Amino acid sequence: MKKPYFVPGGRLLAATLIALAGMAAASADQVNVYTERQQVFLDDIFAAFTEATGIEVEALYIDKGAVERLASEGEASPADVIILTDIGRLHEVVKQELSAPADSPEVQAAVPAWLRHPQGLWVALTRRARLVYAHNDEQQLPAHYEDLAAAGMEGSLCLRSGSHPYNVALFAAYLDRYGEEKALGWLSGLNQNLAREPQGNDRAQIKGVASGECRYAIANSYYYFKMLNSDDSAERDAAAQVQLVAPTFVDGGTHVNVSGAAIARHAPHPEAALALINFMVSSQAQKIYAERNFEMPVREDVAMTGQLADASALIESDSQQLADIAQLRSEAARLAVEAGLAK
Amino acid sequence: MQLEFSNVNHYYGRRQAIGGLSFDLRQGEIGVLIGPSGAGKSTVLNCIAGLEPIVSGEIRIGGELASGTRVHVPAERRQVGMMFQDSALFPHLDVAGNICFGIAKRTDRSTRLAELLELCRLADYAGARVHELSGGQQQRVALARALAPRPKLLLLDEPFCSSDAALRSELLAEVRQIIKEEGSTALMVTHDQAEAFEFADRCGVLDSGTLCQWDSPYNLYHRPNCALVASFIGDGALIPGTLVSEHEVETELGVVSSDQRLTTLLMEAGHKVKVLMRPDDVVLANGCGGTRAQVFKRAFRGADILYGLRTGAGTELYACLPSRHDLAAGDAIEVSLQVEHVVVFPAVE
Amino acid sequence: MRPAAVLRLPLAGLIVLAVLAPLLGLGIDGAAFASLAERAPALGRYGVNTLLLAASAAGLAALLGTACAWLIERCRFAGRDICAFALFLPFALPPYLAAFIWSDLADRIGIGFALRNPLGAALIMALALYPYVYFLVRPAFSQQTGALSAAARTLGCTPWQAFCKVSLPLARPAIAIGALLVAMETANDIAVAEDYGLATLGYFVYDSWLNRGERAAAAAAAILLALLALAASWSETVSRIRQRHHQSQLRTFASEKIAKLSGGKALAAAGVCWLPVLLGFAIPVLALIRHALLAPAVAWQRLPAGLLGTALLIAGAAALAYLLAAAFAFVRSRSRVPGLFEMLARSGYAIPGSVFALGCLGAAAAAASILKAITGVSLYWLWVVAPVVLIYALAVRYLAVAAGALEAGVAALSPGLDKTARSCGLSRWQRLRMVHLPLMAPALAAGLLLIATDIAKELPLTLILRPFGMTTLAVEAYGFAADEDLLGAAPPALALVALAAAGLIVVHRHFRAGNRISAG
Repeated sequence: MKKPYFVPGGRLLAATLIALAGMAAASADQVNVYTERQQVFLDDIFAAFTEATGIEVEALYIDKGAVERLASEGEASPADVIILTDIGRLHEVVKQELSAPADSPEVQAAVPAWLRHPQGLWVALTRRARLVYAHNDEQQLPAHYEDLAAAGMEGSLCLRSGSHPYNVALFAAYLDRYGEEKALGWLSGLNQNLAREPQGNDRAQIKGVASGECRYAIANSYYYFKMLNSDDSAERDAAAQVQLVAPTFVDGGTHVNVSGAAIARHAPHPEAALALINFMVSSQAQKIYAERNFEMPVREDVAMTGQLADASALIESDSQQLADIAQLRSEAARLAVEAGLAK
Repeated sequence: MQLEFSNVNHYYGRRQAIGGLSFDLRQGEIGVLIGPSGAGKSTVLNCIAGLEPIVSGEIRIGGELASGTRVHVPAERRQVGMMFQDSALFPHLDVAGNICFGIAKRTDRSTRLAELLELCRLADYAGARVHELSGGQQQRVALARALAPRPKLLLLDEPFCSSDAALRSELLAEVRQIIKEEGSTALMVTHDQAEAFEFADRCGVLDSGTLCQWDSPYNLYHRPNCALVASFIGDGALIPGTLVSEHEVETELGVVSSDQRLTTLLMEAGHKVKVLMRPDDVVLANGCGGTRAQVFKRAFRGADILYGLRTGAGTELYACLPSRHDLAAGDAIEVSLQVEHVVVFPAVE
Repeated sequence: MRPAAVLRLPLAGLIVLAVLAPLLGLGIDGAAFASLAERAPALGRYGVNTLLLAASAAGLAALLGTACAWLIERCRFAGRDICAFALFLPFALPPYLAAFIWSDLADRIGIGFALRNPLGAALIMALALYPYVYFLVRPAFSQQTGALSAAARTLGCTPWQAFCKVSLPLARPAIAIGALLVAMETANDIAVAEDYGLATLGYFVYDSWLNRGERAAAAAAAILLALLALAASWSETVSRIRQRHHQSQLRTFASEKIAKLSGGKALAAAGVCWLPVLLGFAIPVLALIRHALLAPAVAWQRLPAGLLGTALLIAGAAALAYLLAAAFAFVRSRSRVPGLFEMLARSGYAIPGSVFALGCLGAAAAAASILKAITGVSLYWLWVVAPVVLIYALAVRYLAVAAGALEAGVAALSPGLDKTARSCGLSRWQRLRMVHLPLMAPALAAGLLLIATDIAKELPLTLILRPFGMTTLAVEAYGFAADEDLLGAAPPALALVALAAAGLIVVHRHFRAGNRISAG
């Protein structure tokens, strides 16, 4: 009967860890981050920040629900900064009044006005374009998003679920520009041209083009670049057979979503929080984003390299208000269901 | 013959469970195999039911070959009913569901069910759940279930071993009566000879997978044909003696004579033998020239007392005396023999 | 009145509150019900989809789990012992990971569309979750007395008919509980539904709340989902109460006959048993091993931290789950509505994990403010920095498994045993330690393995509720998988599999010992 002795041991361990964690969270030269982004590349940026400022970063990678956790913790929350992946989630922070202004001169200088909240309640950190992919042999490349909905192209288009936030943001952008009737027509056109039921993630759409299942696919650009640079030869080979197309809406502009950050309203370390955001829009951090995650920087003065630079050059920048897109998400999601792109 | 069990052999791995066993049952007859646990009783039933294949020999049920060296009719096609220890009723079905389980034709069900409920005194319990019944009721349901498809043969595997003594004898009589009313042929196995004697038309003692006598309970008791049966069945002792003539054997307690010839090819006059003494063969002969014997143990049985006696020469035997003679261990009495059925076996040298 | 009786009512209230807190913490209000009425047709469609998916996954899992359990318990064939062990392993892989891997494999040969549909999802979920059924049904088969199917045979049933008419109905309660757990997990799954483009209620709740901030709509769908789970749970409970078998009254004088298979039959049996292991475990794990060889170094470096966090959560949450289950059993055994408590124990499975996590956040906030009002000190920091809320949430979520294990353990005890022990002069604690625990050990150990594996691979709760500095293997794996990077996800996923296999080796011995006890 050795087991009973294990339990007090476990409790002791737990108590120790709790104490350690408590000390970590309470330390002064530190900034606490809640994020719905992935650890893979953010850790490098945080390491660079600590090196530059001496401030330690404690990050909690929460896939979804960081905003809700922040909200429920209220004044007691240890979080200083919240980093999110989609304009919709940033908008949620503003809606629930969870953020404080991050309106430093550094931010104002680095980030174009359309990529931040007027009062600095959120600041975009990267741009992420939603583009089209076709096989290298494909002759007929779509110039506009509308071309994907054109008649006579049945069975050609692949995309992930129409209710995914990336697609919903694209649909909301269209809805914002052209209104409900046109948007529904466009979405129905997309639905008619589907090669298969909406399914899979963004990489699966690109693989679908490579395998011939799909003639065109819609996906975020960094996934394509990550595939091209993957350690997995199968992913590399698939991406190598596929070319990237940067369409615009008929009246110009490519759909761009953002990832961004905000300072928590009850941040225990507001100065450190602002320092982190200033650092994240600095050339140094923006470069890491571009190199490690193939996302387009918000700064115009950061040089991109290779394929990313080529792609970025294709993208027609656009000043469509991101806040409007965020507000139209529910409406866009409803239209997607109506058109049959989401169930 | 409703059941012919001829020269059957069965092995578990390399261990022989049944060795050259033969017996039979006529239509309407009830047979019982008595034996200690591990004697192969259940194996015999399983072979008949088709739950175990046999290695050699033949089993015929209702004249049809069911098991042979290369023949094995599966259990479900043998039309053999079986009652198990612990009743083995289906706990997920009610009484009616259990009884009707084996009735193939849907149309026969209601009449047969009503008939059996009546026969087994279960009429009020058709919808009852199995766990709501008493032990005796459960056994009657098990019997009704086994009888429901009108099997050619009914097998009973120590069905009363978990019932208490009083309930057991009541159930025994009841079950026997039901079987007789149905006109079924039945084979029961048990380790309890009282149960066997009460139940059987014919019975036998099974030991290590062999059977040396298959006879009426009366004959098994009074005319056992081997020492094993003699010592297993009933109380009694084998005492040494000498054949003095064709019809007489001399023992320490005097000469016993028999109507039947005692000598055989192997046992001639003058040979040493063992003589079976049942407790009722020994009578009190105080002051009538009996042999002196000392009581060394006693067992009070109500109407009579079973005494273990030891003679001067050290021979041990049993006597069943009316309980009005209350003797204690160590008391000396005189006894003599009054033997109806004289049974002798060759003395083992 | 004895102290136990005085304590009973407040204890019952406290336990009910503790278990329902995450649901109450969702703050479902009138707006949610209004939204439910307004969206009835659309939600009805999601409901039907969910039911179909959950039912087909549960049906497939029941079929696989029962068939394998029966073959393992009743037949002997080459490799049977290894197979009995391996059949549990698919449970070590989170369903979403198996789904992503199969999806990736299918894409490589251009047939992704053939897999990513409701039927494919049901198949994937069944392959990942059938061990629930397998684990619960095996003891049910091994404890059945052989006389029952022998009786069925002599009453004219072929072996197959005897299985269908006797063995299967007797194992039905165990099959039903297992299938119910599979169905509820499937209905609440999000990652597979998202990747396979399915419109389930679970996904709708997640999507509308966390992607679009439509709280009322999400709450409405959550209510519907919880009602469906409740209905399924209720029907299972009712059918089991009606089917109370009192199997324990039967002395198992003869265990069921075990068929030695050879030739074609042995091959077929081995094929049936190895198929789920192959599809649910071997192929995905081979793919993972290949991915792991190419994985970035950082994925390997974080394994120790993940392992530590996983171990901590298992120790804390499994202990609390058993404690809660014991309190539950105490209250239930003296309640006039035991069925209600049974359903309550399963409420953790009633809604998707991420929504459950939000409820826990709400409940924690409420509890913190109450505590502050009473003590004047904010204890929230403790909840935020320590895995208090997380351990509580995990314990409540998997209470159903702990309660089931405890129930199975108690079933192994007979009242006479306690009297005997008492007559030997053993005190209450001595009886517990020397008599009850050893007898309950097989069931408790089997339950512990299920809970530990469940906790180790649990996702939304751990992601959302863990404190700073804490990570688990599942969190690590998902961090990469969510970025559509299966290479990085491979090392932590393999560590998860190794952990489950190690736990299985420890518990399997107990499991066999348990079979011996019940057969003896």
